[in-house]
Amino acid sequence: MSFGRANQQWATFSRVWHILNADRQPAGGIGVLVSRYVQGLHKPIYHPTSDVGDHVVVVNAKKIAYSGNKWEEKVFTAHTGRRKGRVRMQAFKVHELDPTWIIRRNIYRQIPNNLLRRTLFQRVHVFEDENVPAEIIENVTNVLIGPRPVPKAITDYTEEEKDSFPKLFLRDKYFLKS
Amino acid sequence: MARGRFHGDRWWKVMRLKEQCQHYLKRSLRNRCGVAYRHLRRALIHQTKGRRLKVYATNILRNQRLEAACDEHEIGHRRFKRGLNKSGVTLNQHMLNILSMYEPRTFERLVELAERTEIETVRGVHEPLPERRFSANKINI
Repeated sequence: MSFGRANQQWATFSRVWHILNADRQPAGGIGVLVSRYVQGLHKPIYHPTSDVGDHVVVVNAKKIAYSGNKWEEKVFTAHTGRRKGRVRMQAFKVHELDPTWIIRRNIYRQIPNNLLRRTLFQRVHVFEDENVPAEIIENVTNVLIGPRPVPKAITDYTEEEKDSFPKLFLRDKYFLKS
Repeated sequence: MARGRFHGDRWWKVMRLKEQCQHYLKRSLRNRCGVAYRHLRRALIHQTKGRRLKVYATNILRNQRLEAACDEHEIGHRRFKRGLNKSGVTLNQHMLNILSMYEPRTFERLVELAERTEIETVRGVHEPLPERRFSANKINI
């Protein structure tokens, strides 16, 4: 699709739809990256009061990765407002309840707290797996690269590659009990 | 208005006050001098302070815009500015913003110039530049 000189302004202010794969990506890093694109901070025409942000579709939210022991150590808190109404829940329990919640929270917190916050957040579409509705996926024209290079899992290697990997010592058959 | 013996007529003074308050006050407030004067004083204080703060706000905005423009060409804005300084280009940040918006090809050449200057001054060799895609962090489908 080409834009002539006359239609250049339409192209400049049009909303682009990006897609981001959250597979084995850090949740906080995704929040920083997506909030930039939603606010329009990646465009030279950026202005905080003019609405120049884009749409971002995040897929595979179920497969995000935490470093260290954060799935168990990280605790999300909320308060109902009543006495003894404090709710504390570990990250892995939250993730079991709603796989998109952690990413949505990270993105929402990165968007500055002003009147535009809710409007901008409506342009973020998070899905737990790769099943995206057709009316959303048809708009997508761009792919974002995640904040961290995706490491190769042991299941991705073939049996030949595993065998050809140099072994420094041969492990005893009964080294691990179970 | 109360007319005291030594106070004179304050009518004209009130008119000047009303002139200034006309556009930002409700009618009920406009007709009360004390309230109107308080609002006007507050507004003038904001104006005075805002004159200083505006400089910071514009600097932040220009920096954000330049960062965005440099990201498109895969160069850090600090490296870009350093390269321009070394090569003797004395465009200020506002001008660079305008160029990146309205003259993107000129801005692209400036990025090339900065990159080449950085390479030549640091390594002292004339090397081919790295290939750049327009719009960083993106792969067109």
